[in-house]
Amino acid sequence: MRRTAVLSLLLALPLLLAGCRAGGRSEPEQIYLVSAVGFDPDSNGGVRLSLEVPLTRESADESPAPALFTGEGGTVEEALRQIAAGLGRRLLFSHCALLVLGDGLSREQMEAIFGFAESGVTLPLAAQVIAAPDAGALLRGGSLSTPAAGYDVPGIFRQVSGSLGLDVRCRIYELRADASPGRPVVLPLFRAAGEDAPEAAVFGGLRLLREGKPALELSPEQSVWYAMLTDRYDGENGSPGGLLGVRLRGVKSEIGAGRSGEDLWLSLALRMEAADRLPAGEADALCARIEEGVRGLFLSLREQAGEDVFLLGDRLARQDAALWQELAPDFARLFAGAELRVSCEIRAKESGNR
Amino acid sequence: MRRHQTGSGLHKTALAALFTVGNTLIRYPWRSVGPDMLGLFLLSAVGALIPALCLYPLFCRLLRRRLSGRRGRLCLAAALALPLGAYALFCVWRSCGDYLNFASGLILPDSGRLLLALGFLGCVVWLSRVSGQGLDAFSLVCFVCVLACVLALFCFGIPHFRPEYFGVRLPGSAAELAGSLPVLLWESFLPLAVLSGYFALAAPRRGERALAGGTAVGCGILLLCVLQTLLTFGASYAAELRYPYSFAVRILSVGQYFFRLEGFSYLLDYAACLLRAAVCLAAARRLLGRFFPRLARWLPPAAGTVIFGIFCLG
Repeated sequence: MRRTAVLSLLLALPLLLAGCRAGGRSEPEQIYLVSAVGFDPDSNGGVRLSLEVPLTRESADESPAPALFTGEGGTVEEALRQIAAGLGRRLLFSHCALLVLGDGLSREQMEAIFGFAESGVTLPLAAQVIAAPDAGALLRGGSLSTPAAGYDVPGIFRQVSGSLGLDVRCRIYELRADASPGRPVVLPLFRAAGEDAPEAAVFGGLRLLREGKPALELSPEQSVWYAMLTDRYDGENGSPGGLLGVRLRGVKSEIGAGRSGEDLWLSLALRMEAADRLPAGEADALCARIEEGVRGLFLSLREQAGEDVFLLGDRLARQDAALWQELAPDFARLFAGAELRVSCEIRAKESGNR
Repeated sequence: MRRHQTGSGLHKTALAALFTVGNTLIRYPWRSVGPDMLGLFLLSAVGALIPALCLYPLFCRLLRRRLSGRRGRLCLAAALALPLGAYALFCVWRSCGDYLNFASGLILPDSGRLLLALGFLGCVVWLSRVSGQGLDAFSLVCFVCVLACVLALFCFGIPHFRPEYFGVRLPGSAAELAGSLPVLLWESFLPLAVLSGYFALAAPRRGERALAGGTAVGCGILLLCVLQTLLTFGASYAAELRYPYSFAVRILSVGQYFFRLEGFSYLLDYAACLLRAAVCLAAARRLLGRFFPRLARWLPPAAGTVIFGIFCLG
């Protein structure tokens, strides 16, 4: 019996270990590991594909210099074929950590890009997706802290979103799982850093992509307000100290509507904590600034977008499905007249007094 | 003797559990039903116990007794055994085909297709011919490894779960249920009928406990996998993916250094498909052997060769 068990496991091993050869009979020096993929629209209505590949160093003294391969084509596959035709090595996407979507991509092109990512073994579903004015330029900028911008940018975003308290779901599978008609795609926006900057890219806030409409851009501070309004603020880790000098300890967010369907309201109660006791006037001024910032963003985005970019409908449906069924047909009108109630309270850390 | 029987019960439970998982996870039959998926899965888990509770006693009565000169009993046994044997062969084909397509599409996308088919089918044929004790030992070893992997992967996946994706919804109308019933029948009830046949021929007399217990444990393993997939991707997105569970596991990482943990999920797919195919082949051999003993001896290699040929041509 023991012999049978050992034999069985031995039979299993070759098949399991075969997974190590996912490179397809290629030695490491015959492969280009793609760390980031950028997509931009080209002048002919097609796609310009940029692949960032960290090159292996011949000696320890050499500085890592990632290469950027670009190709154009009517589809993503055509652009990829154009790149592959000029290379002597195979391209391996399984280590890709970043997808950069440039400005001006159409909805069909975005669908094709996500289809390319999901078509089997091409791109990891856990790769992060970001927006950039020019994806190729962002990846061309390189990085000093890691061998490639593709590995650097996700780290920068993790750091920034942690300190701002942004809970942005921007991995490929998260975007796809949350996708639904009419719902904006929220991506972190990065711009290529200048030559003096130590990072590959600089965080520029959030970008809201909407179907067939111009994208909306939010500054880092507005991104924090947006996260609060959409219930995507990570209060546990969030510390907008860099923006306001206070720490947000909690957000109580509620949404509701009258049965008559006339009054839709969203209420936000923010509880902040200052490291030291603030003078009364200063605390009030800070509260006023926060309330004004949140309210201002709500009103301006509502006016610019003309649609529910705060996902209030989603929240209402989750909270009270029956009420949502009743309000859904007339929700656009209700949203246009929705009321926002913001209140802010700042306490000192030690004393607990305002 | 008593000790041997206790051990055998555990082994058989492990065998039934892995058989229940089989190629079900790769086929992901609930993808067509969208948000009802979890409800239907729970329904099918209940349905999966029917063969253990109803068919096993029937098969024991008809198949385990010696074929006597009574023509009526012989005809009844033949009418039951031959279609069941043919269906068992079909299950071998489906299980092998599903695993080989899965492995050549995901594990070895660019190479080793024929080698993989040869290795896997060789294992299936060999396992179907070993003694019952050999198959039992293999099942238990695999079961322990599989359970450890599934539990560990589930725990590692918890930080990625989204509670809003959870929801149990049963089909709202009789028409909806009627649309889902063939799927339930095809994917859970019928293959487990073959397992009941195998147990009736190979298991000790009190096999129903191991059969029912193993089926329930197998459903439990499937439930963990389905929950992990659902809570990571949501029902509608999971339904769009080719291999949702493998993809749900693929995104996991532990700390800064352990990535791509989906290799551990391949063990589940490999062991479950291999065991289902081997047990189905062994069941077909034994069922056919009741009537054509000499012919049945050549059934495993012949079936393996035919499947290999079809896979190579396909």
